[in-house]
Amino acid sequence: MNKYLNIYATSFKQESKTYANSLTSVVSFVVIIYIFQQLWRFIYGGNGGGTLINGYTINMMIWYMIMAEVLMYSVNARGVTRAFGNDIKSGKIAYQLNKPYNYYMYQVFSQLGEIMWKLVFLVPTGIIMGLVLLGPIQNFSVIYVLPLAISLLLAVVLTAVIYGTVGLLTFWIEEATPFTWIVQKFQMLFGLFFPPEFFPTWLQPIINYSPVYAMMSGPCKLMASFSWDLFLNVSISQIVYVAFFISLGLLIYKLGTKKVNVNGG
Amino acid sequence: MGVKNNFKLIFSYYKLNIKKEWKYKPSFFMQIAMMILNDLFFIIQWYIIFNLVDNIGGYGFNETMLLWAIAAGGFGVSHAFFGGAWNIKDIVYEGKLDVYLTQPKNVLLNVACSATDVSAIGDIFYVYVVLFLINAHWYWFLVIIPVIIMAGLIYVSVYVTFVSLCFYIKRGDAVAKSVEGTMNKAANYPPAIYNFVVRGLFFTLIPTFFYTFIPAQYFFLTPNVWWILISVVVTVLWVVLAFVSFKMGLKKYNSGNLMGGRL
Repeated sequence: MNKYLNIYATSFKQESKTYANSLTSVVSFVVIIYIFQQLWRFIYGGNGGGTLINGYTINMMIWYMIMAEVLMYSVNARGVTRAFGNDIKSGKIAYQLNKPYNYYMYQVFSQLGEIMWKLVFLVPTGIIMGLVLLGPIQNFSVIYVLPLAISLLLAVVLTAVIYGTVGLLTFWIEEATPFTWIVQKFQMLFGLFFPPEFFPTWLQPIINYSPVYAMMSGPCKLMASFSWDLFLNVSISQIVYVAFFISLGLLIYKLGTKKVNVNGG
Repeated sequence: MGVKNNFKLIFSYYKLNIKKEWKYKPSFFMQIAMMILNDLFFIIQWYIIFNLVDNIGGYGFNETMLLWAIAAGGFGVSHAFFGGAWNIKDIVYEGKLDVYLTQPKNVLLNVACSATDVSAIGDIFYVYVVLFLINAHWYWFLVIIPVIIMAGLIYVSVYVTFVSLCFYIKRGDAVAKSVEGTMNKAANYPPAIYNFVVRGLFFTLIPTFFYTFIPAQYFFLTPNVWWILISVVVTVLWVVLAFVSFKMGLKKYNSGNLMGGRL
């Protein structure tokens, strides 16, 4: 485990040198929060008042969305997929096969280093924007900070693991990025844009048991309206899916390496 | 004559780039199909929103979809025909511009046309999917062609103008990426959600409104010849600005003395 933590730390340090990229990401993050905030204000009618839409006040809705955008921006889905894809396509993976680590886990921890660095910027920016645009979350208590942080971390780990698994498809197909777009759109549609309550009742249980709930809607609902029951529910879902996708990734990697042709040289 | 030659160059490059990608047919078709599918997800997003409200500042489902169509088309044209513009940062920082400088064509055009993003073709197809979906007038299918060409020119010109900062400063692409990101995201939403200051910004420094809103409103919804003329002038001005910024930046370019060739 130590070697993976070192990989994580190295990646974090390396990413911290690319402050300009982080700044770009923050600017884009601020713009999208502003756009969504304006859009939801319009939908709620003026300043929203006490209007409820599917059980959400405007305050809850926008805090939900801020958390969702933090999750979305912290993981560069295409970047994760490409990190795997480029190594496989260029043949660089041949150099990784004989290293004393599992390549799949190496990439996941390396990606987590980048993600954590982005969170250093995104979380404070999101909180400041929420406080400036809306004020504090209703009924929020300081003791919710730790469980929210745990939920956020599990969500980004799961997201990195899922997109990493998609990246491994490059063993079989020329370009896996289009699959990332589709997974990303599921994540956006059923997690980022709307909480599960905005969908037809027959669809809600499917969303609530899907990976999208663990990686997006669950933690965002916790942010909008925290409860310990919900925290337990979301955490179980996240742990189960992280274990499932890591196992799946390792299996796909094992199968994929059998397809690698090393020409030497 | 010069204009004709440049058009020939753009299409020759496009043909060549497509031929190159065509070698991997399954990947070629998959990228296009997946991009169309990717774009279709946003239709569901707006369907849900317009179940909550009738309209947003006078824009209903069809009008908003028109904005999306123009944005996708503009993005598609810029990345399909001028995809190389997004390599300017790497070319400048790695000192790889020499190979373009020695060729007898305009350097910016040469760089911009040198790459095609195949998935962007999916964005262009998506424009027509949307027009069918909103049951558009027959002439919209024709008018959309110059509209997305103009949108594409504005999009790539804005990016080139800002990315030319790479000639002067380290990580100059950060500004270009931020501007592009803002334009890309803000263009898809009904203009009524933006306040006075932001609207001013979107008419000038980050011309988001000339990218989607003005064409949607004044080419299609309430045609207005003056606004059409203004759109054409603004597009030309941004194209000129892109060429001027790039040319000025070029004077600061340091060669990497890298030997290279283009096949």
